[in-house]
This record gives sequence, structure tokens and C-alpha cells, in this order.
Amino acid sequence: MGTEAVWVPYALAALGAGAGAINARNVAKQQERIQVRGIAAQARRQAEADARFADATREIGRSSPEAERAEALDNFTSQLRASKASAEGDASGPAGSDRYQTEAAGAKADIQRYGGQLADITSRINAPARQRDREKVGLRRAGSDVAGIARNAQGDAFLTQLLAQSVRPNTALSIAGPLLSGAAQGMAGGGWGTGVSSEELVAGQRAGMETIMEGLHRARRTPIVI
Amino acid sequence: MGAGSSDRAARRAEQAEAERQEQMRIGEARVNAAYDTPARQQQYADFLKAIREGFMLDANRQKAVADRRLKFALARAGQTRGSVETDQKRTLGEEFTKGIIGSENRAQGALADLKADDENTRQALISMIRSGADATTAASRMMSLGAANAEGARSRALTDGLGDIFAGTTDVYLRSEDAAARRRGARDAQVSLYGKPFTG
Repeated sequence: MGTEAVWVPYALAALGAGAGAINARNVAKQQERIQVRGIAAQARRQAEADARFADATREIGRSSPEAERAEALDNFTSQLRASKASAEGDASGPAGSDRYQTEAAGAKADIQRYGGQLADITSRINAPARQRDREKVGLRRAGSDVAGIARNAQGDAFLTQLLAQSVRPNTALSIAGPLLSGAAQGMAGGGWGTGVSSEELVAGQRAGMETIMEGLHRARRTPIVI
Repeated sequence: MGAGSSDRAARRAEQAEAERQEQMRIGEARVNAAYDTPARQQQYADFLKAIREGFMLDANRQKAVADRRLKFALARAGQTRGSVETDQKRTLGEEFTKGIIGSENRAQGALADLKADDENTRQALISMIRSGADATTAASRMMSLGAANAEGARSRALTDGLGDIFAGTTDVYLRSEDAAARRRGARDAQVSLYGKPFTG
């Protein structure tokens, strides 16, 4: 074997290192793809939550106390009608003079007018508080919906993390990398491409070892002089 | 290689964050617009007007009753068109004015409660929007939104009412009532002592 084959161990070492690098790059790329998908999923959840809040906010913008006012007024008016006779008092007994009758009729009208005014005012004062109760019910519903979206987003994030962590390097490349590097080291250590035969190399190594052992043996027998 | 990949993820994350910030800005603007609409401002004005009307209705009724009582009390005491009448009417007028100022104070308080309620809700909404979709805490805050202030506004205007604005000022009327009661007592005593009422 000639010295021209000396590059082979280097090439194998490079291949081994390359296989490791390709593996690491593939893992990183796959994790990055998972992360990008995860970010997009989070953005979709965010958009979902934003849309839900936008709806709730628009409801507030459109909200008016009119429905509550009309309902309250209707209830008050019904009650006034039901209690009209009691409010006007007992009408039995002698009819009385014309003047008395006119005044009595006026008093009855006053009672009705006062009742109407009071019902109108009370319903207008009540309505804004009822309106806000209704708005808060809507907002509590929105809050509940968004809490559900938040839970889904947390689930998505956990899944993304799990997927990214579970990415494994390619098995064939994982095995090939160290094998190639080992082979390269072995070949370089064996004097691949240097022009020396393996028998000569072994003989040389053995002679070297014997020299080292002899030196050690001599050193043990030499007394120490201070 | 690896750095390029994470750059792409970082860029996407940056883009998502920028979109979130923009949505947040739009959301907050939408909330503020919802609470600043002319319609809502008109609702505040209507609420205040209703409370004022309610208090005035009550105050005028109380004044009419107090005027009538004073008129009869003065007549019973023989003090009509005298200095006592002038004095009592002045006191009545002052108490009425005081009642009106008190009622206006209460009306403004009720309006402030209503506005504070809206402000709390507005802040809760904005806090939700700022927290984003991962806002479990903010969502629970939203769900626990109470009706305290709005209910306080209603109660301040209705349940508390105007009260008796002439409670301490019907001096002549009260003295007149006392005198009438004393006369009734003396007459009843004569009935039991002599068997027939004193006719004068």
C-alpha cells in the first residue's frame, strides 16, 4: 500500500463529523418547525380570544337601558292598576255636593298622575343598574369563554413543548458518525498510507516497549543518593 | 444552521407578538370607544335627570303638605299675617332649599357610583385584553365582576330617598298640635268630672 492513501482516514473522520452535524441540524430544524407551528397555534387562540372580547365590547357599545326601563314601567303600571281602588279610597256612602264630587274626581286624577310620574321616574332610575347587570352577565360569559380558550392555548403550548422535546436524531446517522470516526482513528493509528507494513509497525512497537521496561527495571535497582 | 432555524422561530414569535400588541391596541380603543359613546353619556344625563325629577317630586309634595299644615296651624293659633307667619315661612323656605341642595348632592353621588361602576368594568375589560389568551386570572376577575356600584347608585337614588326635609322646622305646627291636644285633654277631663262637656 502506497503513501497516496494517507487521506482515507481524514476523509472518514470528516464523514463521521459530518454525519453528526447533519443529524444535529435535522433535529434543530424539526424542533424549529414544531415551534413555528406552536406559535401559529397560539396566535390563532389569541385571535379567537380577541374576537370574543370584540363581540362583548360591541355589545356594551350598543347597550341601552330602554328595554329594562320599558319592562320596569310595565310592571309598575300593572301594579298601579291592580291597586287603583285601594289608592283612591272608599267611594261608598252619600254622593255629596257637586263641588265635593268635582274635587273627589280631581283627587283621583291626581293619585293616578302621581302614580304614573313615580312609576316613570322609578323605572328610569332602576333601568341603568339593571342594564349594567345585563352587561356584566355578558362580560362574565365572555370571561368564561376566554378562560376556555386560555386552557386550550395552554394545552397547545404543552403539546408543542412535548413534540419539540420528543424529536430524536436519525438512528442510522447516529450509528454511522461514531463508526466512521472510530474507523478513521483506527486507520490513522495503524499507519494507514504511511508505507510501513503492519508487521514492521508491530515489531517496532514491541522493541520500544522493551526499552521502556528495561529502563524502569534499572531505575528500581539504583540506590537513591542524597 | 441551528442558529438559522431558531432565528426563524424567533422572527415568527416576534411577528406574533407584534400582531398581539396591535390587537391589544385595537381592543383597548374599542373598549374606550364603547364607554365614551354619546349614547352612554346621554344615559348618564338621563339617569341624573330622573333622580332630580324624583327628588323634586318628593320635595314639592313635602313642601305642599308643610305649607298646608303651617297655614292651618297659624290660623288655629291666630297668627295669620303676623311676624310669626313670616318667620315660619322663611324657615320653611330655607329648609326646602337645604333639602334641594341635599337631594342634588345625593343625585350627583348616585351618578358618580354609576360612572365608577362603568369604570371598573372598563378596567376589567382592558386588563383582560392586555393579559391575552393566557389570562386565566383575568378571566376569573371578569367572571367575578360584581354589581356593587350600579346597585349603590340605584339604592342611593331610590331606597334612601329624600327623607323628611321639614322634620325639624314645623315649630308653629307642632306647638299648635300640642295646644290642640291640651284643649282636648281639658275638655275630656271636664266630661268625667261634671258629666258634660264645657261649652264656654
